[in-house]
Amino acid sequence: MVNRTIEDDTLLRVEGLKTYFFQRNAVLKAVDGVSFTVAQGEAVGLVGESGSGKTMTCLSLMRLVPQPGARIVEGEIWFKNENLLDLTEHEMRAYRGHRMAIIMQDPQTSLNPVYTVGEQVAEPVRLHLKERGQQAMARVLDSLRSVRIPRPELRLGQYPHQFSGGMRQRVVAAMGLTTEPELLIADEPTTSLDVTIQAQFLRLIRELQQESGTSVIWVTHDLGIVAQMCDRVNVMYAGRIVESGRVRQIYKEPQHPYTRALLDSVPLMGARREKLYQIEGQPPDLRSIPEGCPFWPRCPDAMDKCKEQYPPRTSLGGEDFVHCWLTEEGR
Amino acid sequence: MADQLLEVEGLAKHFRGGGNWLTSGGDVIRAVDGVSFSVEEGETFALVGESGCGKTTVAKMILLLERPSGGTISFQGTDVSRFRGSGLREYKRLVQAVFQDPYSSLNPRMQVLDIIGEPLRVHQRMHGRNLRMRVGELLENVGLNPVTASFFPHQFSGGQRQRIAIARALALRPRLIVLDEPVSGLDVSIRAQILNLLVDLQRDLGLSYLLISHDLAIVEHMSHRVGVMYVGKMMELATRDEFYGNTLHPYSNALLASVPNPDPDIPMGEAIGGEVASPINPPTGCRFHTRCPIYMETSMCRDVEPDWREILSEHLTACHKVEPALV
Amino acid sequence: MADTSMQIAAPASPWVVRVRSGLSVARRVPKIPTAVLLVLMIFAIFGQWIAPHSPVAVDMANSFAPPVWHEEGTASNLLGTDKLGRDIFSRLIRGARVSLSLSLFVIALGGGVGVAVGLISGYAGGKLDAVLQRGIEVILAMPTILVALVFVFAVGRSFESVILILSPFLAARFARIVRGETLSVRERDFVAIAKVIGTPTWMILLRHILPNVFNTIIVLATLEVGHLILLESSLSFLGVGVPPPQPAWGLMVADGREFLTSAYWITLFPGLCILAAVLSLNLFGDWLRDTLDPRRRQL
Repeated sequence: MVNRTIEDDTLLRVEGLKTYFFQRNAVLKAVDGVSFTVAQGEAVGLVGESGSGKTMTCLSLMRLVPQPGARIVEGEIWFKNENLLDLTEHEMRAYRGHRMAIIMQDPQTSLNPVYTVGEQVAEPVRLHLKERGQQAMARVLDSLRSVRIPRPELRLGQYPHQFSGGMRQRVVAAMGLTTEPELLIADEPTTSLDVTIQAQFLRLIRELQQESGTSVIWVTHDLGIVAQMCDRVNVMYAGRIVESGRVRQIYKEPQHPYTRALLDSVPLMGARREKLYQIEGQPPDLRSIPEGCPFWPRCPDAMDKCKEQYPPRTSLGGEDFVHCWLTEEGR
Repeated sequence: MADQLLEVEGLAKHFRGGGNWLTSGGDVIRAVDGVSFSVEEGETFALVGESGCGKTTVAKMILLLERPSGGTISFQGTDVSRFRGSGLREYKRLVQAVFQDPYSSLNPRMQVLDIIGEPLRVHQRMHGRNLRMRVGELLENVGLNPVTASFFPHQFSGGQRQRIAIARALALRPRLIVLDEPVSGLDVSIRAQILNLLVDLQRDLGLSYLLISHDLAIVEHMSHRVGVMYVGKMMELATRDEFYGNTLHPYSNALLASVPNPDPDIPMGEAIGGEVASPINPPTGCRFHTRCPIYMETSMCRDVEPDWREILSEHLTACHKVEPALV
Repeated sequence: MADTSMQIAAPASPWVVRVRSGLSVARRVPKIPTAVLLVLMIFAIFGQWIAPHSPVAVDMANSFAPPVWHEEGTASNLLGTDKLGRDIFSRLIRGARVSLSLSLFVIALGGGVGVAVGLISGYAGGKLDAVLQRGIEVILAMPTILVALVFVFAVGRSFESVILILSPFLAARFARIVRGETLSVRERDFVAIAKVIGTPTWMILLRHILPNVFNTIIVLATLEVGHLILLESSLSFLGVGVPPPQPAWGLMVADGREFLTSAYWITLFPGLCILAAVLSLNLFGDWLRDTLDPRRRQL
């Protein structure tokens, strides 16, 4: 296992990642055996509802799981040729904010209100690139310019409250991107933005991605964003990836009943669905995940087998796979 | 044309920002600035717009949570501000609301029985067995088990809480329900449940909805007519098919183009630049001119406020660039 | 709509949950502070049967008797006697009643008024709120002890006058905090919905706002009992508290101050009682706050 070499264009390979929350009398399996890859320059979506483990997966990648309480109990996270879980905390710091960056959901809280925007964008430059003074300032200006913030010389000295929500999120993006990271994790970065501002931000990230060749992991529950922004998508349910594939493939021919249900349940502009497909029941409660396939209580096609055993990984060619007894049996 | 249930005419709300009654002063926030529309019997009218466009303030004025600074709201032909005593009670019976956040809209200290029973107690002095029966019936109407009447809100998930909020809104057999972003606080897989429930209830009970939303896909799915607001003004108003098929106002176009479509083969349209303008000192002339893709320097867009005109039958817009059809 | 029937998220019926969480809460009660408070309450209620001597019985022949562990100490006066030969232990036990009942009266009177003012002020807002707030600020700006001194000199020294003078100060503190809480609860959607429904204002205050600020009130009350015991002690020490010969702890500390070097026990034990009561109440209040706050509560 240790000496596994990975294909040249793979940037990140996650293998059997498990992150659990340990509570007084329960273990919450927030991430329960997640495996996926991200190629260089690729945009990969992690889609799921609340409690599906998508955010916890990302925090695990950064090794930033909430302490105390949560722990990565198993798995490997290969970044190029290094298993991030083998690194010391000190070595990990060289990755965080330098080779991997994260944009969080709420631009309100990801910026510190008492420092100017310039100071905050300069932070990773100082920390990771060891640049100071004029040189650092030039880089900060560059990155503010790159996220299309108008009049960056002026905005540099302003505080976060003087920025609108959309502009703040751009500042956060600038902070993440100044060090030219190889992997950008975008954790629902647009949920608090207005539609037109979201469109601007999505466009911006796509342009930056094309310019720099950064890989992006999009964490979202918005199927529209995934369709527009991602090359591949991993559908998560109850801490596991139930289906993984190329976006076009999955949207046209979803294999897993959950993926299919999800796609059929959202109103689609122009499609005029008479009635939306309705997934019964509630999103999984991590405290009581059912035996077998966690989706079976809500699955229209559930069989007896589904209640007993979690379905194995059925390869659909290439990196694509699905965990469902229907496909496994129908092969 | 169907019967008008609610008519809003030139509605305005100006807040005074900053100061209080001692220090008075501060800027005037023109949250809503002359908005007109109507909601007809049995239809869903959707108000769409981005944050700060004033759509929630319109809803609050209709719900009598804010007092209008100008304009009128008429319900079944009567000016709402004239309602007193029993008329007012009747209005409060016929108009109900469901809000966005199902965590904030249920009192955490009350049992479901008391939450749904509150309107019945207040209006019909219902109590005891009758109350329990009616609440059980309402819970069944929204797809919940009547035994849950003795539960507290924290024992339910977000979707179930929203069902409870809907049951409470239905309790008095209202005519109009104001739905303020009814599903945006919910998980994707739960949204369809709630939207379907709302559609079924409308069909079965002949309800009218005023739907406040920023999600154009949900609006297309739910509504019969659509109004688009921007910085306190109505920009366009049309039937659903007209709005989505023959969009006239450049802002509506921009909104539609901004929606990331859950179909990888339909790319997103051209996004517009700029920020949503502020209702404090809003732009002169057409409020959208600062971001408008078809605005031209020489035009009157900057100086003259466009008229609210009917361009096609039942299709109104406020834009200098749109010419009325020569019909 | 049968197809929308759904399973219920709750793991068990509500009373089971309540009993279960009740047990786990009981297990985490801070043990020492609770024990101290229980003992004090028993003293306050059953003091007259527990105390070995009358707290006011003067026995000049036996004055300044030291506690039992001194050579001259006797088991009859466990903690010694004061200058009039009164048994310290008995006085401490009976003093618990005076100190605690005084606090309770003040909490009931001042707290009640304060909660009402806070609710109305926070909910009404506008000019009424501004006026009430200025009033509260005036009260809070007054030096409690000084005002109490003047008041008691004017009206005379009695249990009732101490209650009367401490209540407004307490009311002001309650009003301030309850108002703050009310301001935030008022903005919750269920209050807006209640207005939409047409629920009368008094019902909104009593059924929606009050239950949601109740935790705060309970916690504040516990913390204030400690504060009041201290205040009463200070007043008694200054000679305007509960009139002698009633045994109040602060009064006992004051009585012993001339004899600190020769008979430390007269001052030490009531002092320790005050310390233990106040500390226990504060710890208990902290625990209560954490337990009642759903955000801090661990299920």
